[in-house]
Amino acid sequence: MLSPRAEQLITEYLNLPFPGVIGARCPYFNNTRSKQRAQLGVLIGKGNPRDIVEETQIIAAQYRAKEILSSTPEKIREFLINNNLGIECSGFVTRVLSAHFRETAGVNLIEKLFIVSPKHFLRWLITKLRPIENINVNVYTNDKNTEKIKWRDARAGDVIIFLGTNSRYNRNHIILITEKTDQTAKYVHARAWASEGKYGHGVCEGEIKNANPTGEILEQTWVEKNKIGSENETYLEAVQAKTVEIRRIKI
Amino acid sequence: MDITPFSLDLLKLALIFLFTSAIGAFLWAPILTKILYKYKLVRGAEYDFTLKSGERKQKIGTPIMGGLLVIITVTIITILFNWQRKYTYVPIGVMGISALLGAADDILNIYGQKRRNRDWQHTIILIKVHKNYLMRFWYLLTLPWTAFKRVVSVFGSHPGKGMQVHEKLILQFIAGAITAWWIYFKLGPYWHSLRIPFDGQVFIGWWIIPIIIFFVMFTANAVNIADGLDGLAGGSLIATFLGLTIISWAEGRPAYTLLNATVSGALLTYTYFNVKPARFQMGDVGSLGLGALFAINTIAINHTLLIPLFGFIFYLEIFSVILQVFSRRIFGRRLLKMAPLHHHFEFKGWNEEKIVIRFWLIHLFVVIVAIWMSLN
Repeated sequence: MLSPRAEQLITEYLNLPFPGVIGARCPYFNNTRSKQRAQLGVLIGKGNPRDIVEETQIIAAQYRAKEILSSTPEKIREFLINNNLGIECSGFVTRVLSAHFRETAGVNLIEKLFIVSPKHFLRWLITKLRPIENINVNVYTNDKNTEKIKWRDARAGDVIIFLGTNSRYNRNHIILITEKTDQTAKYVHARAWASEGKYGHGVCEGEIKNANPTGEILEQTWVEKNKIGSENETYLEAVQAKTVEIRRIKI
Repeated sequence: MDITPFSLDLLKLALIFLFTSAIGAFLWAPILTKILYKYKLVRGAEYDFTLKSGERKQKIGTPIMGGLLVIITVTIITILFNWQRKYTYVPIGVMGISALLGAADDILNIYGQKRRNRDWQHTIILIKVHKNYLMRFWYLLTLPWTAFKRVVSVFGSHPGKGMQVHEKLILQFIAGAITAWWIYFKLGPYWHSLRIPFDGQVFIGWWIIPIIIFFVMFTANAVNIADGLDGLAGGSLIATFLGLTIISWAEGRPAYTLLNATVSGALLTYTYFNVKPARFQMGDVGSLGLGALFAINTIAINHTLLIPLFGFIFYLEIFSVILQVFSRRIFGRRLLKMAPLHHHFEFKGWNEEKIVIRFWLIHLFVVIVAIWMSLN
């Protein structure tokens, strides 16, 4: 199990803490397309839930849209997506794991992760000043930060990494395992399925049922939003990926 | 011409200048308002997102460039009754240059075309691929200028129309340089020293030139930034210029006593019309012009280091913006909910009147401290 603070953080991403509104799930946002530089962390898909809510309130105040904040969760999500607010996969995993390790091991994960060699002074300085914004999926594949493990040994707090996925093999993705038993593993991630259109994406929970106890991860049954097989785009991405790894943070 | 400090005659004369200026401004304020409406020099919401929210929506359609009331009144009264080549020539001139810069910005913001800067990467690509080799050479030659424009644009606002940040900075630099030239070469060796509060003078020679340029540019922008709520900049400037009047009078500098009293009088009338709901707003023409004049008048009576205290609320506002941009760009976090500081309190739920009056009172208190420090 993840620590209570990490669980709480996941709950807040699944239900952003807007006063008086329940069920506004945090959307997915990746800075790759908008390419914001030296911007607020929350505007490049790396914010925590409270930062996202505060930024939404500020933008709503600026753009005469305060009534949005007390409307329906769907309208709030639309507003967030139209204003490039949300979380991306590695930002989400980093925030949750950071809370988890701070509570369980007293370690600041964001500072502990090896990002770039100190030889490149400018890059090193930037990563020291704004570390979380420089943590991407590749950082989690670095052997200095994580170690590869087998599916049968996986536990809560481990991550599943897809490298070179989607039809053009140019995307990476990371999923966080939140719970694992002999029968099943629960996971959570920030993702955007093509089938969900512009406003359907966001932080989502799923499950990998241990249908084949001796098999590897791709031989199990992936269930997300009641969809399995090729309908489950997370599984589809896993299958399309050049590499799928399960990794454990070295703490 | 220096006369005895604390001269009662000078004080009486200064008060007459103040009354004349206030009444003169009051008399032609309706004419100015009509002219501003006639030429549609009014505030639009197109490029000012703050106007889209709640109460601030009512500001749409309010005339801008109301600062002309102060600039023109002060210029006319000074030319007619206080025109001394050695003392008031340059302050009025530099105020005029800064006001012209502000006026150009105000007018372009209303009538101008949307402008955009070419992207840095775009320029690099053009250098590599433009079909005309002369153009490639031109882009390469002007690359430092392009870099300068891009760098300063990161720290400024992007209204779309109006003057660009780099243009403003260059013109403000010229205004600052004229002031520095005048003070260094025309006013004499006394002004080659900085007066340190409680500690006498420190000779710094030509180093005074960059210091003056910095203070003129910085202060003009500081007043410009603080001019975001009805009555805030006007009311605070009254305290500032009254403080400078008192100091000039106490040190026996008649030209500056009268000039500062004239500005204070015109500002009283301006603020009367500018308190919420404003009949008109200062605009860049007023804020840049008066900001530059405030800096020059303080430097001219050799209290340069007290500018941040005489202009406390303006400096607080500009530092809130600088720190916000710094925190945003370097650490990726907000320091305030919004910047400048008055918007932060607006976001926190304070109403406009509460913010303005509290800022006035804090500013007044610090100006009184500055007066006390000047007299020591």
